[in-house]
Amino acid sequence: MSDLFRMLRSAAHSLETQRYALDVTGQNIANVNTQGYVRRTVDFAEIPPQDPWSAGGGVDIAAVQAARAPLIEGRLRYEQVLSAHDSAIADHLEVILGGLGQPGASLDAALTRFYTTYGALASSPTSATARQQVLVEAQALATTFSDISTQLQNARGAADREIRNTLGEINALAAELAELNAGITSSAPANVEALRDRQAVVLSSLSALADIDVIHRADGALDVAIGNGRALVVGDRHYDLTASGTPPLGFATILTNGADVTTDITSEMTGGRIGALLQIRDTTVPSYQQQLDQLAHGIVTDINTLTTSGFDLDGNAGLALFNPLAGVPGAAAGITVNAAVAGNVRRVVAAGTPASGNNDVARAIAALQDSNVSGGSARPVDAWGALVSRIATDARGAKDAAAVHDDVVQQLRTLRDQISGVSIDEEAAMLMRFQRSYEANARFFQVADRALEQLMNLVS
Amino acid sequence: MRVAFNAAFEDGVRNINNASAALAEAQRQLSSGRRIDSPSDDPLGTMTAISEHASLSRVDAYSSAAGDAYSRLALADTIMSDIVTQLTAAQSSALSARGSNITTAQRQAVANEILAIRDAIFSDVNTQLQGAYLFSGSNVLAAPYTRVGQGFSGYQGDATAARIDVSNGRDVAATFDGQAILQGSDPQHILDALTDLAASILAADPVGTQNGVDAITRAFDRATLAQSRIGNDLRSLDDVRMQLVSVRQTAVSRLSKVEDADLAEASARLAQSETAYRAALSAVANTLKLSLLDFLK
Repeated sequence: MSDLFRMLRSAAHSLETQRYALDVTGQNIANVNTQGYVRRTVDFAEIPPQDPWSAGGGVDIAAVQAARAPLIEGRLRYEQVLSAHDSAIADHLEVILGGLGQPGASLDAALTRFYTTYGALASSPTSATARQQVLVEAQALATTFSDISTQLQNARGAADREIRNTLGEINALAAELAELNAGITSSAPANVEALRDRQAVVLSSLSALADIDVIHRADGALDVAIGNGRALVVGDRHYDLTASGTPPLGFATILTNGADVTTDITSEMTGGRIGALLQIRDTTVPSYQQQLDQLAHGIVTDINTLTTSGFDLDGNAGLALFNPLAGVPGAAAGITVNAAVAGNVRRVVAAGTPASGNNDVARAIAALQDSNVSGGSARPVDAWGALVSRIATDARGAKDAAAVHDDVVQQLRTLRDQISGVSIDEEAAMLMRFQRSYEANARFFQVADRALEQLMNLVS
Repeated sequence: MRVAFNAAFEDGVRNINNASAALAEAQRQLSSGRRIDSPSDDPLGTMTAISEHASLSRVDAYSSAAGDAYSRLALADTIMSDIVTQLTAAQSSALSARGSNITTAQRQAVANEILAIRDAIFSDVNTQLQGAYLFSGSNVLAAPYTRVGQGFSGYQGDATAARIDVSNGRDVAATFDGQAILQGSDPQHILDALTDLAASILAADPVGTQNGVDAITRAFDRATLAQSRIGNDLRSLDDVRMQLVSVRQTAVSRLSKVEDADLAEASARLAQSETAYRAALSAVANTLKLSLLDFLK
């Protein structure tokens, strides 16, 4: 009789086991769209017989496995660093390009109009209208240079603001990782997998922001290093990165106090979004600015050299059309028309001799558009075209590289999902499987119950 | 191979996005007519476009300068024609006054005619265009000659005639050296020479008259030389203007090749990408709605 009771217990336990498997299937289906969710599978284990008259104790849950793919996850993080880096560069350069204007409607047009007005002045060197037009276009040229320089400076400012925001995101993710580490090491095994799902999501987000090194601990926790091995997360502790404004522009320097000593790690941050933003802010855009300044400086120098060698309408020695620049740095932003000339059209220099109708300087300035700019190896408009083309090529390169990395990321995600993702068809099959198992176990319970009932009837 | 729902969904959405982007790009090219949206679409093409826009503006500026120069030279040509005509008339009148049977009244009439011709030449040489004297060399704000009492001043311009560029490496005269035309290497300019000639005719001075006639002959030679130079510049301008039209057409064509969308290709691509877009939508809609769950009862 005790065997029959054992059979009933065994059937009840088996029913519970199948119900649990159904529950796991339901959990998989429920989380089909949950980011980072790794499908669970149930490992069943037979309960061995306890005496010669027993076939066995039924079935038990040996483990609930999460189908993780650590190798692919690691590779995915690596590619995400590259993808995020190139995407950020492409995004920022596209914004810069958008501000530069279309060919024929930007600095190239301002330059052409400026030189053309000198051509018109050469035709009518005594014309007040032509002289006024030169001043108007000189002012427009100065404004255009200044606007473009401001846009480049704004692009650096925008990158700096994003760097500060990204530091905030990195700190928040590091804090969450530390919290997850604490949870993983202290939670019951049943809860750990959910925490590890979240851990993978946080790591993925973090790897898009910066190049990180991850050290897996035996207890499931993770240590994360950033830069040249600077501690970001160690167990349940995290070390915030801070931004410190640095003169003269107040741009953020990235500091860490991971080793209880505040260290500047700005130069160590080369990967991910933050690496791209630092590159844009500190290297890429400044080099564009330098090229623009070189162009502005060359143009102003060439024009001033000619105007100061000539004579104004009254035969006075010529004044510089633009106020002389202190040097190449800041030249584009610093171009201003000489107020002494701007205030009196007769001071505009067209002549190479004191004769009012001489147009040698006007012709020479108009011809500057066909000569290489001082300090450069291209005509003014071509030098501008080379700068735009350089930015466009950089943007194109970053866009193409980002597309390649995106494809790799997509392939790796597909690979990961083949292992870790939830397949609705598979789960539907599992539903049927466990449903049938449950029905069969219920039938077994019923049979055992009836056998016991019959035995009880015999006894009574 | 396991096909996870999410992977299939994301693949489908990505394919739809790609097809949609291709459709949008074809639509953009077709509706805007522009091949390049962002410089990063074609960095080299952008550089070429910037250069070609500048070339086009340069050609337009040269065309405008050539147009100005043409009007200026045409005016100068007309003036020189008049001076040549006046000098011819003066020579003819002076020669007619050399005979011995010329009456005083006739001498007076010829002298008056010579003086009228002198005044006409004076007026011609002092022609202004847009406030600038054409025949003062570079000193365009000063009249070449002014009246001083009954006579005339010396030349007040300079010998440096201004030139303007009408194409790369070609220039034409914009102002002229009045002294080179009216005086040359003579001791006095033709205006004074004509004044003296009128006086010689009135005084029946054959030597003075002959000197005057000789001065007219030399002035005539200088004027025709100047006129032929103007004529050369005008002919050169005709060539330049035709050349500029051709250069402009080439620049426009090069620019169009870089900037403008190939409409036939863009419309073919629009049709193609529309089909691809429909196919992507249909594929995703059909595959994602199939599931084993449909067969569970």
